[in-house]
Amino acid sequence: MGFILASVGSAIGLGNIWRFGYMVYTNGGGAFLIPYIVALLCVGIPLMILEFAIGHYTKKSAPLALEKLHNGSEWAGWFAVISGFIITSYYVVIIAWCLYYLIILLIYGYPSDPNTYFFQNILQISSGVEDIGGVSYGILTSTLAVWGIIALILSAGVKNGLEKANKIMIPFLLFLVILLVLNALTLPGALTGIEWYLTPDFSALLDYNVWLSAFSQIFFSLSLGFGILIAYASYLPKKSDLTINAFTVSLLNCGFSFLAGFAVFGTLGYMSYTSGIPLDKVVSEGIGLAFVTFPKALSLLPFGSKIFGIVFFLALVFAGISSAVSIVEASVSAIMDKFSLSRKKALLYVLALFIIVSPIFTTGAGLYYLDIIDHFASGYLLPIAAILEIIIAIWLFGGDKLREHVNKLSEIKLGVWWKYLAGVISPIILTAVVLLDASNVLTSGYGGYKTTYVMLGALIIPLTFVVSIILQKMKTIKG
Amino acid sequence: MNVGAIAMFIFGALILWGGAIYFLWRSIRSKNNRDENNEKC
Repeated sequence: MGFILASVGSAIGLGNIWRFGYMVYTNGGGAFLIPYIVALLCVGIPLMILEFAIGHYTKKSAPLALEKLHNGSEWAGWFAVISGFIITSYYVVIIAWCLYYLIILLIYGYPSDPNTYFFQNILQISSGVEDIGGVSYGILTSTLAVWGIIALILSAGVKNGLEKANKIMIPFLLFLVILLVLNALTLPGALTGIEWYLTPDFSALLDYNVWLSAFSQIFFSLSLGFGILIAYASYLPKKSDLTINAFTVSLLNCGFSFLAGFAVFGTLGYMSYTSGIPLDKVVSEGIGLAFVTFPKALSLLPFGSKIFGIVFFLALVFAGISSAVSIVEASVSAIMDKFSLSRKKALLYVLALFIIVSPIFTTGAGLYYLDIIDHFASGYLLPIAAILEIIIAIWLFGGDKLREHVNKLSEIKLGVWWKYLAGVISPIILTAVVLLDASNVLTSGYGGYKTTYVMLGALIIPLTFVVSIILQKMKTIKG
Repeated sequence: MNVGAIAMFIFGALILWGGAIYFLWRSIRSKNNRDENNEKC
């Protein structure tokens, strides 16, 4: 149970709350569930089984696991770990925004203009990428606090820290989201909001972009490509049902997203009802939804508006921390394995690196840096890491050997279909997602930023390759 | 709510929530069996 909750905690992140509902709404409404479930069955679950199989078979974290499968492949594991490292360096700052907003809400209540308050007062956003601005000390302090919480959890180890924390955080997170859904359902206009969320437009299924969105949503929301699930599965006992665990974790993650959509759209429906603004004008995603639209909607509640605001931000903080600890664990376990270091020492080195990098995202231009780097880290590094994993484990090592290993332990047996879904279909789709975005960036740029800045952001891709190879070249110390 | 939205709600709930509950139950059952086996060993 601890393993399932830890993996679910890793998969459920901020995106499950603030992105899924919007994806459904903008990609054919309820009809989006069809490609979403197809993507889950064809790519999500097969790749999760693959990562569990790699970790369980080798009993190592990603770099040494891939090296054990095929000589000279350690760098590919480091590539996954470094991708996770880059993503965590700014993901923690986003959790810090949520924590800071939560504290402000507790002390002062809702701001009268959430938009100005968030961007000007909290982020102290600068005029552009070239203007670094000052450090937002509130966010910097919150970032250090989030790092402190992560350090506390991970220093206690896997059983007493990670698993215990997830055993508390995940049920509590589910409880908080159920509270938000129940509250939303009692509000006037909520059903109209939910109708917008779920009304199907089946013609959208003819658009390949909708299918690609479904596949990327599944890939990014299941924590694939970070090497986290490899590290987690390496801790599993010899007898563990890998297939059932993969089905459970994936479905719990997707079921949670589906549930959170009701809280978001129910509340936005109420906002539209009370303010008279059409629903399509209030719908948003990401930070716009979390820090501007949702606080505005919750502040309009007839009673308990502050309590539900606290519930919402607490849910974001829990969802964020449960994911962040898992990504940091992937780095820590990789360093422990490679250099035979104690957990405390490895954690100390990893945290020191993070504390050097993260503050850059707490500056006035931090949001711009975050936006550009996130585009290339999430959009390119993770799919590349997953493709490398697939090539090494299925093509070079042998999908059938891993399939046999999984089948020996699992009640649901994998057929050859698994090898083709994970080894052929998944890399084709991931390559299509990356190439389509690359052609968009090359033709239209990204986010209106100057080409120089976009290219600088894209530099993290070759840099990750170089650092991965350097780490492979370093001597492995056997404990 | 319109029929399409209700149908998609049932579809999503059955597969995502129903599937999650079913596999959670199976994994708990499966884990218990393994624990018993391990103890016997």
